[in-house]
Amino acid sequence: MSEPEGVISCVCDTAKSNFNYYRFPAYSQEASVLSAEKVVEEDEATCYNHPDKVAVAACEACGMFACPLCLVQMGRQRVCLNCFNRKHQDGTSGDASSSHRYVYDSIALSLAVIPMLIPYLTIITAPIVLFIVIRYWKKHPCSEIPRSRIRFIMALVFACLQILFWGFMLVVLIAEGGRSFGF
Amino acid sequence: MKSSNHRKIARGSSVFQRSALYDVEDHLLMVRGTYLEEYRRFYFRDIKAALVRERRSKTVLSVILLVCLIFFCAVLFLSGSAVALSFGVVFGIITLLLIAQLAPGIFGGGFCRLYIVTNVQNEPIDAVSSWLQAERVVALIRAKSEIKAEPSAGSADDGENAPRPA
Repeated sequence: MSEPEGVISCVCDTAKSNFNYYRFPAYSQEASVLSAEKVVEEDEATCYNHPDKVAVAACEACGMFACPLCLVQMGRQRVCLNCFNRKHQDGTSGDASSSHRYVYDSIALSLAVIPMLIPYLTIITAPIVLFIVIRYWKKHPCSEIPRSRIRFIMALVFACLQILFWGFMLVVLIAEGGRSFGF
Repeated sequence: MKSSNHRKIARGSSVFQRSALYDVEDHLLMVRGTYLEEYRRFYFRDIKAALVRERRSKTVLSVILLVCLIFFCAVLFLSGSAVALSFGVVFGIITLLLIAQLAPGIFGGGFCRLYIVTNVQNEPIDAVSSWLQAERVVALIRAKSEIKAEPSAGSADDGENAPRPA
């Protein structure tokens, strides 16, 4: 089978599909193995977790000395594994290393718009939307992808209109009730 | 980091979730989900291979579905009755939405699935659904990974040891 420029086309016997396989420079490079040097001199700083390994840096969160095996890049910080786990559990891992994120502006906008199909639901959802917008306004952008605050603003406008509407309805009801009681 | 260095190169959506693929300086960023976004990063220097698998059955089924819907709409519109016409409008809208969804795959060289392979990942890229899009992504990876690998370009092998896809 000819392999022009690293492309392999074949037909799989089971799936009866065509495949194209492309290789890139990393294919021919060997993976680098992470290692830590053993302590030779007594006055060398050693890793907190591995007393027989030389420390190369201090954790930027807790200050513990650590060897290359115990250090992890977390966004712009280099931290030890304990701090990495702790930050992930606390949700304070920063923006660059997270693999999941709640997109609060989309949640707020959907929560403001979709319940309008059943208008009575907006009595509950409008305050929730207001809470989400106020609570997460400063956390913007919620997504890794750059985006404007337009969703937050639209959600805020819809929620305010809904609250105004229900406020107006409440005033009308009270006025009607007052009139029927002769006030 | 939040500057406009994210360039969208592919987007796709299914019934349950949206996905998109971005070119971000030194890596590809795949984003899945609408309210809870899931991120996968593929650094150009780490991408070892890309596998593009043709999905001929999906292409054929999509064409059959579209032809049936268009035929059905035409029958409803030509029947002349008001009820049939209103049904025709509804089905027409559904057909147009489906055309918008399936046309890039049908006219972009057919449907396919792209997998990106690194040392630790073999991830399907949901955002890429047509052959044309896949080739564009592969060309981008090739261009960017070759720029990164230029100093050691002489060590590239001649392709004899390439693993065969299953």
